Amino acid sequence: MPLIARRTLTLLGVVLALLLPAGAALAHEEREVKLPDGSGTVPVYRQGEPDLLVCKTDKSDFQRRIAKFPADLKQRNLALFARCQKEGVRHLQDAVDRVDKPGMNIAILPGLYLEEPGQPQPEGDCTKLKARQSSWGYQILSYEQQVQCPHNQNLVAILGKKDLQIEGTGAGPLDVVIDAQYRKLNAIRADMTDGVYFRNFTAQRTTFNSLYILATDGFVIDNMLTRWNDEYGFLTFASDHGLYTDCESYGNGDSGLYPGSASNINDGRGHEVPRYSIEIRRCKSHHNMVGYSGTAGDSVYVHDSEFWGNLAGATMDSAFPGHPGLPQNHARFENNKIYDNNATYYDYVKDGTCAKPPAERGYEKGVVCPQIGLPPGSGIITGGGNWNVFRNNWIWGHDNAAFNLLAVPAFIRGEQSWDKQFDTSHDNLYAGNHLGVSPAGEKRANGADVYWDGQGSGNCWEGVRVSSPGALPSCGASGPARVVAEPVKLVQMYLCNDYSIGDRRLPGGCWWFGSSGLARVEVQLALGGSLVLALMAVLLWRRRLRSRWALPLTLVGLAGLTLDVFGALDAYTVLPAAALALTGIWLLGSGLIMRGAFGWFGVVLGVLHLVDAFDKAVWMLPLLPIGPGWIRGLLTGVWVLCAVVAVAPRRTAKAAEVPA
Amino acid sequence: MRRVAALVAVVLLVTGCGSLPETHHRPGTGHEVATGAPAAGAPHAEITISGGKVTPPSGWLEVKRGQTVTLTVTSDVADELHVHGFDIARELEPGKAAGISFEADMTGVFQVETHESKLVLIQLAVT
Repeated sequence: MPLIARRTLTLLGVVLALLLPAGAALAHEEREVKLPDGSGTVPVYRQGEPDLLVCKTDKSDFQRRIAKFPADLKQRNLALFARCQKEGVRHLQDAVDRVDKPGMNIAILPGLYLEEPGQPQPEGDCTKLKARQSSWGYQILSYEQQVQCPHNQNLVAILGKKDLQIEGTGAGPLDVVIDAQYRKLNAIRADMTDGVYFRNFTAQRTTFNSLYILATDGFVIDNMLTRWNDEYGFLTFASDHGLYTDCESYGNGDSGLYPGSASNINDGRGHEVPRYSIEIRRCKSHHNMVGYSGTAGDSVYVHDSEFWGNLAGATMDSAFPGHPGLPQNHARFENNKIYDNNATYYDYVKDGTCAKPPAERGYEKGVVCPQIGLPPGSGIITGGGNWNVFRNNWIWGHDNAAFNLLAVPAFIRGEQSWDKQFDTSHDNLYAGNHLGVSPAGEKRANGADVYWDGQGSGNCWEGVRVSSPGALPSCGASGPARVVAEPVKLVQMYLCNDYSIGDRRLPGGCWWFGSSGLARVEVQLALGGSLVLALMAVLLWRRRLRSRWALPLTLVGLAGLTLDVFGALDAYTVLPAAALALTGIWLLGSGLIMRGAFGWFGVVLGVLHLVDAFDKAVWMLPLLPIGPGWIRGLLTGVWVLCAVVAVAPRRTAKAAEVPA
Repeated sequence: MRRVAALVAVVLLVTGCGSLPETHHRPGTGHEVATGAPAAGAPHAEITISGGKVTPPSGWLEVKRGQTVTLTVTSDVADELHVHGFDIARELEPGKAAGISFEADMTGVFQVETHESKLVLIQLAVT
């Protein structure tokens, strides 16, 4: 990197660091945990008879539950129920506690499991554990402390068991329900449980996660349903050799599926990789804040899944500290259906619904309390990711954009090294996607195809028609390599990120939370700038421009400045570039008329406007470390100061001779 | 270039005022756990079926035994509504709201489904 650019970056970094609030916390806070060594395998479903049975005792209730089952399944359940009454247990935790060797199978018969023994609040020594209190209001317990007090945070705790299979024996996941009733952070915690296999049941209603798999090499989530959690439906963390298949999740304040800190096995590779650490296939995630999210969601292969009805379809990011494997890299999204993610869940924050205790918010009736600020109406948002591939997805019906690509500096994730501050938003590939149309041929356009903040290198898009910036680098060609996002987009991002659900703070001026028209910050910036420049244009015309071209040029300039405001209202049109071009012509022309130092300054600024318009609408210029908008914007400020001096009324000799 | 960078810094500082990026650094809503079972509210639900999707997504209704449950269901296609366990059925006509009202005189979890489209509309948890 050139020395000058590095110095620029250093200063930018200093400024950005100043914006970082002290005491950064996490979205998901956990004990310090390392990624597995990768020696495990994805477990295979075992069809043999269960070793342990879990059921309730009310036979009439059981018979009602299985009444509509197919005959063979009904007979199997009746036989299991008879066996369970003799040798089974009444709570899943009791069965887990009886697991004494690897490779055991637990069968849960149809019923509602409230897991009463795990419900009570901690007592005795479990109230006095020496552990750090997280900013989320709970303790960060070590593995040993989880073993000592398994129900401090978990309704069901599976700790250290190997190759365990837990299966519901109903006709579908709704026939077996593990209901935490918002009494615990996690309904089921599987911690250091290599080879664990979950199949065919539901876990619901927690103040954090329904199914939490941690530090595990080898797991399967098969035909499972999770719903109504403050944060995540399925949370898998620091794990490898994982498979989510045919699963469903909804009603979560963060995401339905969260494969965070998946093993970082492809770091340093290009787009071709030997394997993925976690595969997600045929899953449905809907009516959450986001369908999928993955801080450090590295090497996750997501395919043939559906994400709809969320605030946004999917996100992956490098925006939180404490997640092994940052910056995020090598996710692969293929053949997914991502549509109609336009939910208005911030309304529940505005009206106070989300300020109630979790159990009273009404998650079961469709309430979702979004934990972070996001641009609603987005298909896939990448906030600081590298080497991700998005191919052959069907993405339609979004009010905002199908793809968002945003950079995140390293200090946000707690890394201060200068070399890392600009290490995200590189080499992301978007190709062969079907935008604005469903597989059935239904045409419903997205508001735009792509929103990119302009930062990063090696990113490329194919098949894009509507985007901001208007000209995107295509795949196979060299593209821009900028170290900082476009200025207005950066301002917007920082403003919008001031969202806080805890404080019910929804930044005014940010369209994410409902601001429109003149209330939007980018429109206010454009309007303010245009008014100042328009005033200068009129004063220059009246006082400094002596040419028959003066009036036409001034009118062109005023037209450009007006268009700039309208362009800020809709950045996905040609208006921003047209506005820059017209303003550039005015500055260039009026500078040539005036000559002199100020005149030539105007010529330079006019050329910069034209270059910026070209950069935005025709071809993003390579080699520039920052976009032309930065230089143009800064010089425009200086030019305005000079213009004020240039148009200031001058004291005439006659006036000077008037006696006091 | 240094001057440009310094100006960039100033601009960033100005634009950053009042808009610090706290989103990723502050916890969200409280995660205070409940100390009892969720309270049963009004045993009523309004459900819409459109394009094969249920709104709100398949829910959960806490009901006290003996309460009268009322469900209002509107479907965009003809179907049949069925309350399992209680074995109550109702025809659904396209675009017409259909109401069901019954006394929950059994305990357990009961699914309310459509027979044609095989959708689970809601589960009734009667205690």
